[in-house]
Amino acid sequence: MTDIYKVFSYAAIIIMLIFLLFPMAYMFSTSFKTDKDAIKLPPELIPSHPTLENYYWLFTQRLFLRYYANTLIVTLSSTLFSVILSCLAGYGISRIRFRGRNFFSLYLFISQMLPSILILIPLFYILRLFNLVNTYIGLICAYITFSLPFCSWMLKGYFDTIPPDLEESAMVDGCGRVGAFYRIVLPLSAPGLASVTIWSFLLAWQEYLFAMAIMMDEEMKTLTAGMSTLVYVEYMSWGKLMAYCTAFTVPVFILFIFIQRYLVAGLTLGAVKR
Amino acid sequence: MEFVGLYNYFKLVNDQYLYKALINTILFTLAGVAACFTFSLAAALLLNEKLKFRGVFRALFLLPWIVPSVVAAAIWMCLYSSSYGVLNYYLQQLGFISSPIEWLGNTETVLPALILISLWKFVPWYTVSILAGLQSIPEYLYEAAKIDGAGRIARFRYITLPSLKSIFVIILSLGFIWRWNHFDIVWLLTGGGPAFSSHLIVTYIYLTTFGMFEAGYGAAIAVFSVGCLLVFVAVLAREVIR
Repeated sequence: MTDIYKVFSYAAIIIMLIFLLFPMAYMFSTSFKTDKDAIKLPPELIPSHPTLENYYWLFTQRLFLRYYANTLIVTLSSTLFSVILSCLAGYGISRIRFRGRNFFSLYLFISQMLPSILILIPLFYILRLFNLVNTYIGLICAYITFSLPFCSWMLKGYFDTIPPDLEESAMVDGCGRVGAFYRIVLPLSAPGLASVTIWSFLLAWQEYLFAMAIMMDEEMKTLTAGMSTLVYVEYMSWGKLMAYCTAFTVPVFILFIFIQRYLVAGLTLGAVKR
Repeated sequence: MEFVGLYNYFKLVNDQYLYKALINTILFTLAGVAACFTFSLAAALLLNEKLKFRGVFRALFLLPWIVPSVVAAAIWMCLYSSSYGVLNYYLQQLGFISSPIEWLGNTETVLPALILISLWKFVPWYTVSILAGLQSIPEYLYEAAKIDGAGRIARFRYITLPSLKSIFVIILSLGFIWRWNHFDIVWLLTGGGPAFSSHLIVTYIYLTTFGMFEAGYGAAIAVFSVGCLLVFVAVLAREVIR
C-alpha cells in the first residue's frame, strides 16, 4: 500500500470518527458545565469552570434513583428470561424436525417487521386484563415479547453451525438430549449466548415507547420514560439534561469495554452465515 | 367495543394525513438507508485495511450504537438548537450559512436533520456487519486475482462485491425495517411537527391511538404499514439478489 493511500485512509477514518464521537464528547463535557457556560458561544469542549453541581442535583433527586432501580430490575430480569427461553426455542428449531419448522423460523424473522406500536395496542389491553399495567412483570413480559423472536432466530443460526455429531456421540455415551444440550451445545455456543444477552440487555435498557405506555405511575417509570418528567419539564438546563444522559449511558459504556468483542459477533450473528 | 367491519379501512383511503406520513416514511427510510449504506461501506473498507490502531478504530466506531435513543435525541436537540447550538455556530463560522437555522422547526430541514441523526445511530451496526462480511472473504481469492493482473478496482468489483451479496440483502432489509418503524427519536424531537412535516407512519399511529383514542383506526394503519413494508422489502431483496 502506498503512503499517499495510507494517509488518505487515516484522514477519512478520523473525519468519520469525529462525526460519530463528537456528540458523545459534547454530552460528557456539557454535563460538567454550569448553566451559563453550557449556552456560551464559542462552545468549549473542555469546560473552563468544571463543576459537579449537575451530578449533585441529579443524585439527590429521589425520583432519579427510583428510575435507575426500576430500569435495572426490568432490564436484568427481562434479559435473563429472554436468554433462557431463546436458548430453548433456538435449539428446538435448529435440531428437532417438526411440522412447520421452516415456517416458524421465517415467522420469527417476519415478526421483526411489525411496528412495535402494532404490538403495543393489543399488548396493552392484555396487560390491563391481567392487571399488569404499571407493574414490573408487565413491562418485563413486554420486553420479552419483542426480544425473544430475534434472539431465537440468532441462536438458531448459531446452533446450526455446531455439528450435530458432537451431541450424537454424547448421546451414544449415555447423555439424554437435555444432558447433551447442557454439557455440549451450551458451552460451545458461549459467544452466541453472550451476544444474545447483550442484544436483549441493550434493547430493554433503552426502550422508550413501551416504558412510557405501560408505566404510568411516576414511581414505576424507567430512565427513558422518566427523562422528560425530571429534566425537560421541571428544569430546562442543558447541564442537568446531559448529566442525566451521561449517568444513563455510563453503565452501557462500562459493559461495552468488557464485551466489545462479543458485541461485534452479536451484531453480525445470523447475518454472516456460512 | 363494537364491530365495525371494514369501516377503518375505508377511512384509510381518504386520509390526507396518512398519505403525507407515508411519503415522509418512504423518504426517511430510503434516504436514510442509502446514506447509511454508502457511509458504512466506505468505513468498512477503510477499517479492513491493515492500518495501525485498527482495533481501536473499530471499537470507537461502535459507540453510537450503544447510546440509548432518548439520549441521542437529547444530545442532538442540543446540537441542533438554533440560538446556542454548536452546529449553527460552526456552520456560521465556516460561512455556509449567514444566520442560525431552526433545524428541527423548519418544514424543509426537519426531515434531513432527522435522517442525519438516524445515520449517526445506525452506521455502527451497518459497518460492523459489512466488516464481518469482508473478513469472511478468503485471502487467496485476492492473491489469485492479483496474479491474473486484476487491479484494485477490478478486485473490488469481481471479488468483494459478489462475496458481500448475502450480507447486503440482510442489512438492507433489516435496516429498512428498523428505520421504517423508527419511533422514539422522531417522536421525542419533533412529535411529528412542524405542521405535520416530520410525521412518519409510526408516529401517526401513536397519535391516532393514544392521542385521539382511535385504537381501531390506529391498528388499521399499522396493518397497512406492515403491508407496504412487506412489498418494499420483497422488491429490495429481489433487486439485490439479482
